[in-house]
Amino acid sequence: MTSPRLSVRDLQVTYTTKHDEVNAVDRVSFDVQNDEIFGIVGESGCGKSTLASTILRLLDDNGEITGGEIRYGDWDLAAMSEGELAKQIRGREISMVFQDPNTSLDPVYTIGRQLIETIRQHLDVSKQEARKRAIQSLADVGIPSPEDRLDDYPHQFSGGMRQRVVIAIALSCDPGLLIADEPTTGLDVSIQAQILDLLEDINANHDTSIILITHDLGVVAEVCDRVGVMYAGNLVEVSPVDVVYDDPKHPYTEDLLRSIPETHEMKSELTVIKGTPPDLREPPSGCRYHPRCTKVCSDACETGDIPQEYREDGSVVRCYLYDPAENPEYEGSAKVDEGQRDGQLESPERGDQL
Amino acid sequence: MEWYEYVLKRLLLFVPTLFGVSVFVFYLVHLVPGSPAVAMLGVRATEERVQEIERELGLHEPLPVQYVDWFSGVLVGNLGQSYSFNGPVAPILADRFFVSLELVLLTLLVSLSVSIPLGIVAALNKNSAVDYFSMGVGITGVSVPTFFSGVVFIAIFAVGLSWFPVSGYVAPTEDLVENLRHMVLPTLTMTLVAVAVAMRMMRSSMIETLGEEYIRFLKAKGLRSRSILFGHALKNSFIPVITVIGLQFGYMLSGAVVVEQIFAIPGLGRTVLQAVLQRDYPLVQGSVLLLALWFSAVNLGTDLIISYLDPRIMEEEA
Ligand SMILES: Nc1ncnc2c1ncn2[C@@H]1O[C@H](COP(=O)(O)OP(=O)(O)OP(=O)(O)O)[C@@H](O)[C@H]1O
Ligand SMILES: [Mg+2]
Repeated sequence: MTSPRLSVRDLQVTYTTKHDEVNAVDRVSFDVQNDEIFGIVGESGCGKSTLASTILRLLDDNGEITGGEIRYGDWDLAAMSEGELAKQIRGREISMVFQDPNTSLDPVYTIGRQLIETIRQHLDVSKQEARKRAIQSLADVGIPSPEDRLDDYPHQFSGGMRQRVVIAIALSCDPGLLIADEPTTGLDVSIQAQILDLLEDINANHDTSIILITHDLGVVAEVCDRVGVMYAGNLVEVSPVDVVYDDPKHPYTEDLLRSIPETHEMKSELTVIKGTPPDLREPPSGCRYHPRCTKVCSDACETGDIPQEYREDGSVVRCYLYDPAENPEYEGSAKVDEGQRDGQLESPERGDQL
Repeated sequence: MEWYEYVLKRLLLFVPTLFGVSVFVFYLVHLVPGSPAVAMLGVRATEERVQEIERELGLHEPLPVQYVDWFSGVLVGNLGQSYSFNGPVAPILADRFFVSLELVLLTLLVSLSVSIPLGIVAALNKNSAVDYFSMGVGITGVSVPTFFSGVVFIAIFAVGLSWFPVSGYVAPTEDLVENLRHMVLPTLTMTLVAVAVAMRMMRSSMIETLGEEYIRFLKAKGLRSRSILFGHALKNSFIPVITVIGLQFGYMLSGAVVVEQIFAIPGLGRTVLQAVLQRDYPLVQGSVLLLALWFSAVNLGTDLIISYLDPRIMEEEA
């Protein structure tokens, strides 16, 4: 059996502020398979960016991993030293692309320099060789006449082209995983589609898995293989993308879908989820979604711990609806065992690269 | 636009600036009430004698005529004759200028080599002991007036410890070591003020830069902290500081007047003061022109350096 490219287990992240602790990521577990595009969706403030930066250990100074593992190959990223992370992981094995391409590049150096310094940081190549690779990277992300543009400064590129440059830098050392945190939010709609196409293209032609963070379910439908749904620091459901749309498991996923305009089928009315997301400084007990949930099935929803992970078709879902002990009407589900997770059974294996 | 094109453009724009500055300076000086003839002869001089002198100096002509007279001289390096020094203005000013320039350059050198590293260290260790210490130095520096710190330095290091001379000036061409010994206390006095401003600017600029998204992206690329600091953050955070240093550098030349008085240094600031008190029009005009030119030139230099470091500037100009 192939091992997944990235395995996150019981990850917990806490921000410490003057007066409070913010439990921004709570016991999150998921795998990213080789060569898949894994989407992470959720409302603003649910912890998507926190989760993404935790993987590369780029949390703000007041953020801390308070539990869990992040396995990539033989490494546990949660326990690695800064020096090792910089040498082995960041930019080499795992790269990251941020939301705003206008602020991701150093304005006073040419993009060539910013590309070449990345390549020379990780690969033992000569300047000329690095330059050649840099040109190739730019060509790979669809920048016209890359050789001439190497000596241009970031401000000389349009927003979309700038995001391509950022992606070129991120991919310049052929990482195994690319984390893109809302990479199209700051761009025009037409440009957004181009960048998404580029990501799909990269995923198909390079051996690069992608974690795509977005709050746009339409984007997920278009490019992702599987998707994780986050709510208030919890990953409440991980499902193949068609399951999420056709047969969502978690009540939150269902509500979330109902709250977005459906362009393809004009059937259901647009409904807004009642209530507001909880304050993560004092999250609700039990399932964090219970105050807004329409399907509360047991006392445990309100007073228990957060639900375990249950397997349901090809999905993993954290909801007491799927626990026979708490929801007598339900039978046939099973807790997820380690080593027998989502994805490994359902998604086709595309070769073991690690 | 290439950088040299930008430089050329700015240099060409400098010509009308020069002209404007000269007109302004000329009229400003002549607006100061009181006649140089009276200043030279004393208040009890007869009216005829005053008029005679004024005619001799060309002061009876209308102002525009006087201006053309003066400015055509300026263009060929002739700034006129000083009434009070009984000699041509240009060489007097040149001497004084270089004395002040040495003081200003030394101050700049010392203050920058303290303020820039201190600002960076403070930024990297925000809210630590180093940070508070440097903040303390900064606040002390700007709040203690120069005439006070200068006198305290003299009392301690010159009178008390006899390490340095109390005052006076020795030309570097005469004896370099003595020259520097005389410069230590004045430089220190001026440095105290200069350090504070540049350090605080460097600190806040570095803190702001380190919070930028591209710094996070550089980390995500696997760059080491040292490469991020020296390869990216330093240049970015230094650019805004250059403007402040430029302003300081510009002001210091005339601002040195207090220090020059305390330490009896024959610099430009002191000369201007004397010239104004004496109504020595040509000398005042010459020195104010020189100060204005100096300020404009430093400004131009600052802009050119910044445009060289920050490629976005030229784009805005174009
Ligand atoms: N440095 C920090 N200190 C304290 N709290 C923080 C910090 N950064 C984020 N948070 C809090 O952690 C929670 C998760 O934030 P995060 O930025 O990960 O959400 P997100 O899902 O990426 O939101 P968005 O869609 O708006 O980008 C939020 O409640 C946020 O207020
Ligand atoms: Mg975010």
